[in-house]
Amino acid sequence: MFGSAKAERDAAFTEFMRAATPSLLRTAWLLTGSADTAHDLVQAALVKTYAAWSRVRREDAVAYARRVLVNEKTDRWRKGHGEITVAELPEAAQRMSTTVEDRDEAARLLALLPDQQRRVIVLRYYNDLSEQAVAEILGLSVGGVKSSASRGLAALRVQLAAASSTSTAATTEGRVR
Amino acid sequence: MSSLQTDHQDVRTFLRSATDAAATALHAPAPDAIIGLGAQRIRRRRLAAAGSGLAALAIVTFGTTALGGGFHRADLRPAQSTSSAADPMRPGTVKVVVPRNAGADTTYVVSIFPDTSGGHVYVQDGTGTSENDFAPGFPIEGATPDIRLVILPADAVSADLLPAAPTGGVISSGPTRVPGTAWSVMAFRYDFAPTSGPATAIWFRADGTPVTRSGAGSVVDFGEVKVWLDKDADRAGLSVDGNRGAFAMAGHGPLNAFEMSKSPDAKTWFIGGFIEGPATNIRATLDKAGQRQLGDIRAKPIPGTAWTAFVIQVMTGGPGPAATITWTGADGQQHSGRA
Repeated sequence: MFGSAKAERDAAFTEFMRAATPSLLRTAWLLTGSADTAHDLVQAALVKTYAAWSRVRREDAVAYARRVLVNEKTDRWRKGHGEITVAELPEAAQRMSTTVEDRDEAARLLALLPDQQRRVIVLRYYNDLSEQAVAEILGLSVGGVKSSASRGLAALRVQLAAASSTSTAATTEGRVR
Repeated sequence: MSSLQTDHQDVRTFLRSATDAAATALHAPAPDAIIGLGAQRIRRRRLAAAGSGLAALAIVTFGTTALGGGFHRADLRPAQSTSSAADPMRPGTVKVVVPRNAGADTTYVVSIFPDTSGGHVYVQDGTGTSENDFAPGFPIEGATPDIRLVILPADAVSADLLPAAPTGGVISSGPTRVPGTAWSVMAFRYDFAPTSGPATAIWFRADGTPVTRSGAGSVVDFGEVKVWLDKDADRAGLSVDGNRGAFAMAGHGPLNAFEMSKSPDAKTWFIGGFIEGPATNIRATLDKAGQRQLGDIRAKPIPGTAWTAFVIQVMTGGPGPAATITWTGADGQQHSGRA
């Protein structure tokens, strides 16, 4: 009887994992800029979600796992493991023409944002969460979320514009040659 | 503002393109491994819950102290027991009763299991057990979001959470020693669940030294006033006469200053804070002096940092208008900032 209940639980959780993992991995990658760290974070978040599975409503499971993931990252920072960023920051002065370069450039730009702004930007504009939802996940006021989003957006746009103008210059230079 | 910026479609597109580009490098954890680790976690939690049930024989019920909102807090009650230093890795359990204004008190059984890689804290509230990382100085949420529990070193005699609750009051319990360990637990119940955070704790030793999780090394002692800085936690503040403190987020400019006194009706207030880099010839000018008069100005380097702490005495009555602080920096130039 007990074994059957566990089997049912594991089957339901496996189904949840299959559906939720891609999105969680992408969110974790945006937060960390590292595929390996994203893997570790998602694993830690899913393990905690599994342990809490009996208390998690199915319709809230993705939100629960995402919250655990974001807080897991915060916990790691708090423990002094350091901000998790890309191991090496590629130079911005190159036109990003390949997928790998696009990925590295995006990681570099996001790594320039302070941790809180980065989390707000990712949750708000990648996960499409409301300001209230982001505030609840991060333990911030709605005003704090608005402020972080505003500063993060401005900083990101400056970097995007700089990267864009650099790539345009590189392209122009290429034409002259 | 263009429509592109109004709905931030440019940023959304950037993030989606970035994750699309990253997708091939991302690898999902194996489901079997997740389930195995999750089951292990549940077993560990059950073991801890069983262990804490036995250990609950050694029960200590916390005394309570009502605290007001803001930074003028009543004294916190010292720990009821202290014993010789214990091994910081030793586990233990204590029972915590968090009082409520109405209804039944909330009782928590807190079990700590420190280990070299961090460790865990298990909190039972009668309805279930939560597992938390062992991270002294960082609050653990209670059964409801208005309650926070904090693990502190055993020499803490009082503590507060930063940032403070924006509105309403706080009732605290403890800190109380976890018997046989090097740790204490303190509980906070807010009138309104704090929405700002994440919070960290500042605690005070019996001699009034404020300590954060970075330790007491960033505290500069000016006698009755202490300036402290926890750069890692991005917190800073003043402490006047022991365990009363003004707390704030550390800013990111060259000057960070706070104003406080021993009590709201005190005749002497202090503007204190820190300046980035070595600073000499520190001066202050009140915007509208009125009856307020500037007194002594004292400054010292903050040990282990490149910052200079300072305290400016302001006499005669209450918090007042802003001031301009000027100083000479390492470059020999005069700098100024607003306090």
